[in-house]
Amino acid sequence: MIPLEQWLVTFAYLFALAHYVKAFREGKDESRKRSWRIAAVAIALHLGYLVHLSFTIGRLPVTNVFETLTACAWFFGIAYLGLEWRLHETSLGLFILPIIIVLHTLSNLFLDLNRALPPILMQEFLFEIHVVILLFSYSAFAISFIASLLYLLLAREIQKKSAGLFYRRLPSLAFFDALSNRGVNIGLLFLTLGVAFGIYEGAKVAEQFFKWDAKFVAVGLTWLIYFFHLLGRFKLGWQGRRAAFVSLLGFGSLLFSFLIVSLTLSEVHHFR
Amino acid sequence: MSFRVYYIARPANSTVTELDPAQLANLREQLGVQELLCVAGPRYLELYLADAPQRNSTNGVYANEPRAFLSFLSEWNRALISKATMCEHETEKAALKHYFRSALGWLPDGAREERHAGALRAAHANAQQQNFAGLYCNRLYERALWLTEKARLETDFFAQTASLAVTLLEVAGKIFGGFKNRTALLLGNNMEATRTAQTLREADIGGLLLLSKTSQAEDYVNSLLASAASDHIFAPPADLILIFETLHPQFGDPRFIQKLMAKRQHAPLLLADLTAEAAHAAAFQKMRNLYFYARADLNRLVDQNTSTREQVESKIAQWLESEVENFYQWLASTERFHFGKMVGRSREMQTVFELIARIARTDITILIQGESGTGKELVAAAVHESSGRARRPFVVVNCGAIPESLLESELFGHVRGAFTGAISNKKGLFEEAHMGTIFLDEIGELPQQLQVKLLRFLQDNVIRKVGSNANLQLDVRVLAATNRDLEQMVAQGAFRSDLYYRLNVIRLDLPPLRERRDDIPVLARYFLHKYSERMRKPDRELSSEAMQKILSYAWPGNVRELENAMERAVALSLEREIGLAELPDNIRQHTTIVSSNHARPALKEIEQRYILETLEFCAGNYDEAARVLGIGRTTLWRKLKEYQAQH
Repeated sequence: MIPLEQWLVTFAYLFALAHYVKAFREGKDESRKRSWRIAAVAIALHLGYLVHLSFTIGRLPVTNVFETLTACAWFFGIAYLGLEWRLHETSLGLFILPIIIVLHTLSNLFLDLNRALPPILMQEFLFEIHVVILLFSYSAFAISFIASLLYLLLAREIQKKSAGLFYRRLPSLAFFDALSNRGVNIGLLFLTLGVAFGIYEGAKVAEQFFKWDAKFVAVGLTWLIYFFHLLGRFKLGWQGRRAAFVSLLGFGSLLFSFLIVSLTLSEVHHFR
Repeated sequence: MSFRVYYIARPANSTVTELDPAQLANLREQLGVQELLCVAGPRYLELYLADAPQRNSTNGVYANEPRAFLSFLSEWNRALISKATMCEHETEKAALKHYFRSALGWLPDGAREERHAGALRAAHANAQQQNFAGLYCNRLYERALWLTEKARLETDFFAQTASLAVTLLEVAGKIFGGFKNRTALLLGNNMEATRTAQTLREADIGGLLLLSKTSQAEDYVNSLLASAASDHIFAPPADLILIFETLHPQFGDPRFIQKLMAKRQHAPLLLADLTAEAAHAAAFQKMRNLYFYARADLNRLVDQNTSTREQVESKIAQWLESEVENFYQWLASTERFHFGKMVGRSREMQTVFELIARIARTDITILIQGESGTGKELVAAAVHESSGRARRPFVVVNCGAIPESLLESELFGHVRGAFTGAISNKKGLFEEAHMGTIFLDEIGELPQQLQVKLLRFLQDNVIRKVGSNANLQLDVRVLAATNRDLEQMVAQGAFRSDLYYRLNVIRLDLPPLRERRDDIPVLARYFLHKYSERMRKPDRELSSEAMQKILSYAWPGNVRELENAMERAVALSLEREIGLAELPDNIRQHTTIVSSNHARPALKEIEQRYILETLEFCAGNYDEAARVLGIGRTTLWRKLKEYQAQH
């Protein structure tokens, strides 16, 4: 059952994406509402899949990178859905859906249901909390990332002085600037919380917990970048383009620590 | 029909001269037209003349020569077109097209002016008050409203703007979102600067600084530079800097702008240089969060908007064509006397139709008042059918026909056990009509206690079932009808005054048939056709004596009586022509012409009625009417004017 469900979810997201493209081109309120509903259905399907997966493996599906990927994709979806519901703005969906589809498909391709749980995770319940909090923070960062991307796209169109499709459909720079800023602030809060949880729990489980491991360095770097963004905005009055670039950089670092480092470089934070 | 328009371009600085009703009446008389519409738009003055067929150019006052028309006009009222020289002229289809364009605010020179569409609406309101607008104008207006709505909902016709100021505002909107917390600095003292300032003010901008003199600009720059030395900000840091005239060279200098940006901590800034000598574009382009627009850039944006606009315009132009075709088809058909299931060509009924068309799409409560048999239910059905609720239920309740004791549970429903015999929950008619329309006939028969409940529904849109404590929120449009004088019932205390005023938001008075005799032939023909078809007989016609009879009969039972009489006549008839013999006795035997007011009308009254009927008979063709009546055209005209004055 699981493989079929995996791909069903992917197709549901692709279907939603097609509608978002259409809604973006047409710019009509009606097609916007329809695409929102389709995305909601896709996310509900995804939730069903996650529940099924949890029962299959007997834990929340966050015990290794590939399970976490699809859970992360779902969190992105929910965060976006809520955002659109509040702001009535479709353009973000056009960009967040591809990210969701890529994450989920990666998970589909590499998910191995028969692998044994690492002994270190067998009993700890705190581990799940640690991951879920971090997924919250990743969703907020993802929203901020998309907002910054759209900011730069729109800024380019305005600078080019030609009224292209993005110019006509996107809201204002100020909108994306504020959204990106808020995303980073919320994300940073949860990132700090999640990391604190991780340290607490790691210290309890392992003998000598802290080493100069790649994962810790990468996460530390990500945290610093986002903290820098916060500082820049509050203390140095950063706005617009520079802040957007830092947000992009932060998200790149986040993906790097989440995917590459966890899979290949890290020795300690290792749950393959 | 003959339809023509004369339009006169107003010079840019001429003031709009409105014509008062008396002047309009005079002008109409001078021109000798049936329907006159005078649209005093901000840039064009338009005169639409509509007439029955074959009447054009016979009057001689106006001819096909627009110049002659212009000189006639300026002779008639010098102030109206004081400085105008250009006058154009269109007839028939071209004129119709011109009319529809005007209704969209689309001027002959291709420009758009929403205010012109507004002027057209005002002109219609005016003409209707004065009764200048007849069948043609009303139909045109109805179609124009429809077309406007279609253009608004299905295209970007009204959204696309092509003026520099609005485009500038659009760009600023893309950067700043709203303008509430933004400040704009405008430099210059020309028309464009003032116009842009006006647009910005309308957009609710937080702060607006308009520097119109070099000395002011110098002060501003100096205070900025002075405060740049200290960190203390003195001059308000603008988010938009719009340069219309080069008041101070500093504003075109990238180094100065760089200083300004640094002072504002590089928050986004829109700098638009609309002077001819804008330079340093490349330097500005490099600055972070600075958006620089030269005049050429804005013009390009305007052009881009214009080209998408042209696509929309060609689509609209097609619609206009089909609208004109449509109008001719309508002219040729008898459909123009039909509305919903109602038939009527009299001015009274046309007014009713028009009112229905206008208010159907709203959710306003309507009170329909009219004698029995005038078609109150048909009006209600027509309102429902032309409203957005057409696909939803239409529930008819005759309040007089249901026993008082049952009425409440019929209307509002009841819950199980509310009274003996209430063995299950029952939906009321209001609930059945949810999302649709409920028509309460004979509202005057509604008992006091239910009047309260109805009033509560009209105010809060909630009902309470009999025996239930829960409120039920419903979306139902209420139409009510009565043949009793509610106002009098209110005075007597039989009808609650608060309910009366709540129902009486819009009142539709259906005139009795005897007060709109023009409709009798049309209705008779309609019913004859209907029943001939139903009884599978060839189409019946009334003989002239029979027509005379039914025209002079008082019709106390109104349209229903007429319908029954025609049904009977068709059933009895053996030949194509229906004679006196087939009419019911009471109609056949009445001898006097019964008027609503007097037992016996004056000779003058009969003459007037006969002349007006003949005119209707000849479809408004005055030449023919005069010939049939055996009087001269001028006599006919004089008499008609006399009747006009009486009303």
